[in-house]
Amino acid sequence: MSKVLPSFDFVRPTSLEGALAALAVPGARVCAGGSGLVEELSLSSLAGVTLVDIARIPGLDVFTAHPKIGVRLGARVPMSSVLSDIWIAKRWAALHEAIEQVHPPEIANVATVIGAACSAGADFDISIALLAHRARLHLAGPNGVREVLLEAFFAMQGAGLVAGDLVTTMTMPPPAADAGSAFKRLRIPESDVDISHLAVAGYVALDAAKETLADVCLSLRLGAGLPVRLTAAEDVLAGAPAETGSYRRAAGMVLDIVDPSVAAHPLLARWISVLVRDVLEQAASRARSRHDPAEDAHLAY
Amino acid sequence: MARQNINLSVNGNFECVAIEPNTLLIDLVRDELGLTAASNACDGRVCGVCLLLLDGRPVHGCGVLAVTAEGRAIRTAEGLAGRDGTPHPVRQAFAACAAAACERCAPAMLLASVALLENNPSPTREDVKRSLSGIACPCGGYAGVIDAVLYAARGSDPREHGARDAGPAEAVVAGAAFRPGSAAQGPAAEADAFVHQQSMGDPDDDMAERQGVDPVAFRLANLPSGCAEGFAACLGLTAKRIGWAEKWDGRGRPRAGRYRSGIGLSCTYGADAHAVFAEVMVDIETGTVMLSAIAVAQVIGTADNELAIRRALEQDLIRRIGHTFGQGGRHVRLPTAMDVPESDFVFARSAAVTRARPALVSFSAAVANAVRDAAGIRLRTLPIHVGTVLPELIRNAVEADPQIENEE
Repeated sequence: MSKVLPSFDFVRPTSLEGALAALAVPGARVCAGGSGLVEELSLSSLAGVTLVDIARIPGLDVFTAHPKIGVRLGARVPMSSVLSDIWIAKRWAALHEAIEQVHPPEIANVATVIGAACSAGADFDISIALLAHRARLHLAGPNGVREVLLEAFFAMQGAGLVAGDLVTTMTMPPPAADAGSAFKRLRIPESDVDISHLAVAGYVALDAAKETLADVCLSLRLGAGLPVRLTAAEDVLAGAPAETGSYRRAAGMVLDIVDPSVAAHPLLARWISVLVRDVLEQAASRARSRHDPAEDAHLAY
Repeated sequence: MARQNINLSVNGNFECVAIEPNTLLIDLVRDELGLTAASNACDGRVCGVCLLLLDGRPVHGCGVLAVTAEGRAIRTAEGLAGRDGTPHPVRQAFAACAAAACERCAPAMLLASVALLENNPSPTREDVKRSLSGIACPCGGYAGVIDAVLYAARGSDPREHGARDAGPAEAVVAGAAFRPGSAAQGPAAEADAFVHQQSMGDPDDDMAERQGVDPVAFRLANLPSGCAEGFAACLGLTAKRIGWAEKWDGRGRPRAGRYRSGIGLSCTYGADAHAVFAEVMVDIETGTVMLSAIAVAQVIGTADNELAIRRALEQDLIRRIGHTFGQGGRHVRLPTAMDVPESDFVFARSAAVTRARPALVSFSAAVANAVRDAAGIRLRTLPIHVGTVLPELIRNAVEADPQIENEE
């Protein structure tokens, strides 16, 4: 017998209404893939809870992705299903790359995309890729059905949720015709910087002439911190020429936005700056050529 | 907490068990069903030896609640044999290629390999490495397993994948030839070699650089008298196979571009002398060092088994990669199959060696020399990673052009 998890109750509703009723009980938690919950349970931070398994609820395994329609995925869709989708790889490349870097890769066979998005503290960075793709959460709960932007969800640190809320689906809008995205993650081994890694994701849409940045969405995460959307940098980039100088200016701005303490770590500041620049360069390059992101595998850190 | 009945298929057999909801899948398989090939060694998604197949996909049994397996199919390593007891073809490939997976990790490696081949019958080497990357084996026997999976997939000449006509007994020999943690061969010896060759000034590499002589030619011209017979020819052949003449074009040449490649070597002399060549790519913006390939020239005894020695060297290499690149640190993972570089081994047999001691003591020094070639910096401490390389790159750039410091 290995580690002993604390006791909890486990219920398996077969309808959405049944699940919402079960989730209305104080302390109830949704169990989709369950891998994040096992980790929380092993830290004994969830003793005495009721886990509400959503495996038998119809309609939560929906997954469609099309460049003209967008992405719609249900709460039960594991990361591996998304990873193997050809449109995700080509047009939602940041998300594809973020899932590809989940370690160990077996997690992707169990953990769900929505579970990873909602637990922003998880040790992988799906959430910042979803921010870059402007993901929206669709919730069902005691207050009816509603829609929340993922960044608003993070900004409220989950405070927008009420007891009994269940995230049923997530949607992402279709990318513009000449758009590309990228995700980069840099591991920082033991050093003066007490951050294990940093990750940046970006979405870039170009104008018809492919010379100007028409739309940019940029997000960053330092270690296990909350994902942040870099809106000030996005505003500076919108309408700017799609060239290295613009990316450098944005990268410089990011250091002011993120956290003043970053300036105390020149190496960390440099890594952030390089990653932001690289993500913007690569996303813009993909927007121009729409080439297969797999061709950039050799540029991974 | 009420016990729950769950129905599931285990290795093709229907099972109905009553379990507590807080039971992990690995505990259900081991304690309730008595299938003990998979074990639970780390309690938390680190080692991967609890790997099982859930509906044909690999999962870590220590990270899945057993109740969520209701109505699903589980496969364990025990279920891989045929009904008549015939070993699974992948298990046979492991034996044919002398894949030195240890007893602890072999079931997980087998299951991960079977899952890969069932979903992708023609995997690339990268596919195989990724499929095994969730298993962190302290013995580091990944290279043999990768060869075995490719052999099982392609069914080609086993010798292309490091295989030979070897039975399971020889596979065991391959694992036993190297004793992990041995004082003479472990990281302590590695650190000693690095200190000797870098901090104290590499007697070969630094002198060759100062004299403007090709490091291979310098070493060939200055071999110690006690060096084993055949080592010079072996070193020359290895240099040729890694393409030293084309890749080495002299230190001090102008470097351009962000990603800079470099090549270096380091030698350890004596009766069972060896040389390690390393090729790296340095990203001068982030300080990332990527090990692209290695080649090893090794003197072995006349009675030594080449494949067994090669497998032992590959295992030792993985441990040294972890030590050199600091992958066993607080923040990062242990080396996995993803860290296995392209490797080439050239052996010279010598009557002076009774039994070779396969240990790549010169590995980290070779990497440091390759970094020196690529980026012009001399690393004098281990480990080598972005946190140690980038400061050196900045210091080097400021020394070359003090104006940069003001701009920074």
